Amino acid sequence: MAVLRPIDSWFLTQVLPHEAQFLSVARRLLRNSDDAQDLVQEVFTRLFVMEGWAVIASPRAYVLRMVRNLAIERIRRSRIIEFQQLADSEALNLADETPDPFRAACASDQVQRILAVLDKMPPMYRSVLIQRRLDERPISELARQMGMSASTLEKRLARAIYLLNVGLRADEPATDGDESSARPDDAVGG
Amino acid sequence: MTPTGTDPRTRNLEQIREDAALWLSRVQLGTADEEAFARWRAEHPAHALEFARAFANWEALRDAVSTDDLRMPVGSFTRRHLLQLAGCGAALAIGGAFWVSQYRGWTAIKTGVGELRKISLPDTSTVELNTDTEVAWRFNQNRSVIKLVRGEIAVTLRTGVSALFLSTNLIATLLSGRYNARCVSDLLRLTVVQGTALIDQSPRAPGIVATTGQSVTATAGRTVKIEAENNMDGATAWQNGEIVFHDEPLVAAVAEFNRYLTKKIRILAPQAQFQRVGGRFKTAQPQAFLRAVSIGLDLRTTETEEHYLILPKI
Repeated sequence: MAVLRPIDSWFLTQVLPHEAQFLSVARRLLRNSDDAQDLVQEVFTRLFVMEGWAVIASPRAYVLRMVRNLAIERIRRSRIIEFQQLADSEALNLADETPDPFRAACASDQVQRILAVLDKMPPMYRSVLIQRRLDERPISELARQMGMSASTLEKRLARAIYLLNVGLRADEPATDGDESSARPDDAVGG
Repeated sequence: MTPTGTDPRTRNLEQIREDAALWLSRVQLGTADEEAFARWRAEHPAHALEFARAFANWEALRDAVSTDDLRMPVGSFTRRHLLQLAGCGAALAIGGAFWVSQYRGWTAIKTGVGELRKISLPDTSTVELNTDTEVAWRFNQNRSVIKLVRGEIAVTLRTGVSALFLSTNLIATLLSGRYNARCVSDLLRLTVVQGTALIDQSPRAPGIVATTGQSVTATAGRTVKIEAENNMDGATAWQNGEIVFHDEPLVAAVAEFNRYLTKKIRILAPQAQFQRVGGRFKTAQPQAFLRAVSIGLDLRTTETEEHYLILPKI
């Protein structure tokens, strides 16, 4: 059994790197950061049960359309429709094929975010995380060297992974934003 | 705005994230019950999603830490890295170093000129090596990583198996299917005979996709081009010990044939170099090729101790 199935590899390489842009578009349409995260989460989960993902020519444009369509659905369901929201959704039609404005050309951004999270992590978790990332010896040897039982090591590494994920999520560059002051031109490459 | 922990949906999502972290921990330590893990992941798409997110962060972690971090006193951690990462160049250099530093654990296999070889990997994939080829593979994260150093390979991945393909000019995830990859004179050509290849253009940029019937070419400058493969027959004929030319300049056909020959063919008829040739030949029988050339292009051929020669008619 493979750790990553084809759909996981596809999601990790084709979709997830654009998450900041999806969040930005959702936030612009829904005017709320939590709702935007919720919506992108829903779109992502739908991708995992979708047939035919492998033949999508441009996954980013495809997911952007899903975000937009689902947002419109939600706006229409809500009681008060802001005309501007729907007008924005029309403008987003044009934005599908433009380059992703949130993709950093430089990998150092994410490396620095990871380092910042590691810096804040309690040392007992950080050391387990780094040790395992660098050292692929069997768990029994690793646990012996680190002076703990295999089961403690397993739990501690799980906690460390969880803390890393939480830290990187909280630190998401495009999610802490000024959505209250966002104008239509701000979010989509304009 | 809902504070985390009060909305049942949010609480549920946090639980899934904790479970995903636990599964990733077990997978990384080799303690996961594979069936239970597969069951959990298939239970709900949110499980698969959160596991994928955790996996992405785990992978990204590799670029951020080094063995020095185990010895560094607490507190000096960030500063040292910030210095190292003063510019993009430094960060990319770290990304690049990973392929090299993980070289231990690789198994390398070579073929000589004129030799063919077929190997089976632990995940039941097969890799066939064409003439004068060097390939290295390892099993990492429960999938094969196949590195083409030079020459040409055919990769077959059964249903449900994917592999990571590496070469100097191109990195790609190959989903189950059949592929041909050749790296000759600094030009990499990956042909999707059947299947899907996810091409990574840089360690972090989003990839592009090549599907059945397409070829991806990449040069040393990492320019990547996808196009329909017009000569699928030619790309795979070598597996049967054959070589197929479709309307190619003689000089290119000879260069291709020479890959299989210890005694090389030389063209000593400059005016004939760019005349077009076509046909199907056995790689082990250069004489038949030379006979076809001499008849078709009205040239003469001869054989010395070191070479086969193509000459103008006297």
